[in-house]
Amino acid sequence: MTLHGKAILEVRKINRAKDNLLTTNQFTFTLKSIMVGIATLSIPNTVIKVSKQDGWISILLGALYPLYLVIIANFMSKNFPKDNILVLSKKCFGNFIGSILNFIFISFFLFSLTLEFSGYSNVFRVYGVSFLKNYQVLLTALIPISFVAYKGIKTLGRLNEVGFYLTIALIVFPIGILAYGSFYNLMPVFGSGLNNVVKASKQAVVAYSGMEIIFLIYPFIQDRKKLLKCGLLNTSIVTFIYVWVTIGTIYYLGVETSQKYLWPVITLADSIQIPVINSFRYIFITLFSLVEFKCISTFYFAVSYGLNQSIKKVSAKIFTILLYPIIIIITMLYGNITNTNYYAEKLVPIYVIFNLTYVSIIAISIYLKRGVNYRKA
Amino acid sequence: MQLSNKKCTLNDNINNIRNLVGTKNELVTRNFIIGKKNYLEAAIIYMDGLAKKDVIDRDILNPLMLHVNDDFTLMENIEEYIYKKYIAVSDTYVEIDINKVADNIKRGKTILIVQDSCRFIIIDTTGGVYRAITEPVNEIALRGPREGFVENLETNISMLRRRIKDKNLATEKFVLGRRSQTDLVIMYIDDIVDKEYLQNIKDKINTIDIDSITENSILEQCLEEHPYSIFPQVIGSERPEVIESKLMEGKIAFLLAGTPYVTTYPTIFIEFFQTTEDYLGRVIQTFLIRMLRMLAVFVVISFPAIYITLIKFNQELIPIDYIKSLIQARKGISLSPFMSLLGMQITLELMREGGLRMPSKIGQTLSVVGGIIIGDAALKAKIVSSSTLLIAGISIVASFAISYYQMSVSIRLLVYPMLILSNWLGILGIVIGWFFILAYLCSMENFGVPYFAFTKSDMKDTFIRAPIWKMNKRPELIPHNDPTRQSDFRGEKNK
Repeated sequence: MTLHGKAILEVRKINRAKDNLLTTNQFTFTLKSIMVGIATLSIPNTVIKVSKQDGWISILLGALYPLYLVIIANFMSKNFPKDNILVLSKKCFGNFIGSILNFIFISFFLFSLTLEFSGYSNVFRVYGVSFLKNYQVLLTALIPISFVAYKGIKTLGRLNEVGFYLTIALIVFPIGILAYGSFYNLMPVFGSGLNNVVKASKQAVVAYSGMEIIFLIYPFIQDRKKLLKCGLLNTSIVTFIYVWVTIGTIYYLGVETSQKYLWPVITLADSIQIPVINSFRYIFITLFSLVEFKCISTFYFAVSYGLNQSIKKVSAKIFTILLYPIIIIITMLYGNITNTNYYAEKLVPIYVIFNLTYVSIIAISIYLKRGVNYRKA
Repeated sequence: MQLSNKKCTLNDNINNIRNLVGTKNELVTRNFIIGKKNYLEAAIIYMDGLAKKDVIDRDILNPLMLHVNDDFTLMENIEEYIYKKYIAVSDTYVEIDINKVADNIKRGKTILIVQDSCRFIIIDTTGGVYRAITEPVNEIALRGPREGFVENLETNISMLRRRIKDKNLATEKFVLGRRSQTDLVIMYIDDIVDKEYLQNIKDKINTIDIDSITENSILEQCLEEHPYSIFPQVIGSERPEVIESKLMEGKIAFLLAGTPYVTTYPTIFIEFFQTTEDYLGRVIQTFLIRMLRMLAVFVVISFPAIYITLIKFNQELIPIDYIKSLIQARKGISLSPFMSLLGMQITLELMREGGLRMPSKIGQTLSVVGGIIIGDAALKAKIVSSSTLLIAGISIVASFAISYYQMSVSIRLLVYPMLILSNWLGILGIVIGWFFILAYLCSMENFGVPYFAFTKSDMKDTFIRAPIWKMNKRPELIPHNDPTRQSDFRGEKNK
């Protein structure tokens, strides 16, 4: 190697160390963190309304949505490894329309964040801190969450990875229910009809939303070739969790009883009994708070980073601080859990359709104009 | 006849050196004569207390004064001739720079000056009395070697050199402190260490401008990136085998003259929970012990907080039998559980701090007064309930299970914000506290090395300690150039 070549290599190495990059694991778990949120606790109810005991098949089908997003993201990353979707959208739609669509795209994260947060506050006030008011929970819980968003992608990536290992027990806990439920609750498979299964899978898609963050953060991955692998791994982890809790709930509670609960998954914690505490749900929800905090932090990061990418003059850190009161206000507006669910049911499907078209159009236009206009722009 | 050449006179040289070293120093000058006929005037200079006098007498003065018969009249390079023929000390050379001569005197070397010469013979007579090598009192391993670092820098380097015979073991020397002029040696293995990281560290060392560096911890504070962080950011050891294994991971060891405590950079969080003993014992035992340490961290930080939460907000969660006895114990106590727990924690901290600095003879009184009298009296005076006392006690005892003292103190300090949070927000406070601790740990970096991160491959030496022959790769978190530690010599992968 020539001396010059060596020098270039050195410079590259130094740059690489300074860049904000995520390892494959951190990337995967960041995706996982944003997807697995409050919806996990009520996911069986969203599907068994329509597809009854076959709800878990609907959830399997719903996984097609994140799968599609991963494939598109992989395609974009191959063509434009350094540009996230906000840049690509401006190239595709022009500055003005691109910016508007970008804002709608970012507003989706803000909306999901507040939904998550409101849902969390509601469930936690039922099972953990019934003596606190809504605003007390919101104001205090958002402080450490915003700290993570403030510190940026590296901290977030590490935290998501560490957090995954620390809360892995949550996936294992419900194994205890195998001793109590009945397999007849899950029978007959496909008994509710294929039609209903497909119909319910549309509802399941809502639970998979959040995966859209992959379009914002794919430039951060260290090893671009592994993007597809990360996405697939993450999708399978999340699908596994959802299918597992759905099967668990149907197996343990049955289709009818499950719908009587707002968060049927928490009842799975009942299978564990330890002599020093009356209700294991309390411990379950406490551990689940960590999952929830990670989820909200990741959404928070997505919003502040997205805004920063749109308005480059203001740093992501300042956006994080500015967003704090806005998030509190929006979250307060939802009110109780019924209202929150109402807004979620109305708005999330619209957002999902928007995201799908937004992403698909950009992908198609990249495909069509490959190497012509984009590279110049 | 006296040879004369008025370039550098003997007295001028001596005075110059005296000025450079400092006139107030106890510099010893001894004039003598070399040779019989055409003799030379000469002098040796050394610092009292730093040089070995018997070496000077036996190997310098004796041969030069009594056994020289040469005629120096027409000789060139007299200095070289003299030291090559007459001085029986191995590390001897000729120096021209008078500043370096002064530095060498301060480090215990002896200078031989011959008349009318501008060149100085430097003879290594470094001596002085040092502590002998003993086992470090603060770090005990039942099966490890019994030697520990001492205050002498050369001895410490030699201890490491004796252990690592690799030709790539590199040492670099720095002099720190305007007034103390303390020697710092950094050691690393040249083909393992990450060059960029090394350069960063060296640049950082070169920026230090301070009047004295008394201890490695002072240096640590000059270098660290998070001065107000509660967690210690640099780990060190007094045991050479610990430093050896850290060097093998691609770390850089800092050996400072005058301190037996050797630090290594970069440091990551999990190192504070590992001990030498972990690597010497059985794999399963180590796993259990490490789990115990993690449990201790959890207990120290959250036990008092959980207790407050349960007592104050979530009584319904306590089984009925427990709550009966809790109420019994709390009968007649006016202080709130939070206040009494806080008071008890602080009292125990006082005892711990007192016990640390006390001579052991007074320590006994402390433990009697503290443990028996205060504990018993507090109960009888209805200041605390017995369950509160138990929780405070467990939390303190658990903190001793954290192997590294500084980390143990940091973890214990976290109890207080946790207590306040839980008294205010119940279990939400504990969740917030823990999430913040994790987030804060994840956000910390030392020269670009993450302080707290999990990587899958490093798991072999984090919570578990895999069998040594399975740890084929160096830890990923530590930057290095050579990831392979050893080959898969037991062929486990092909089986």
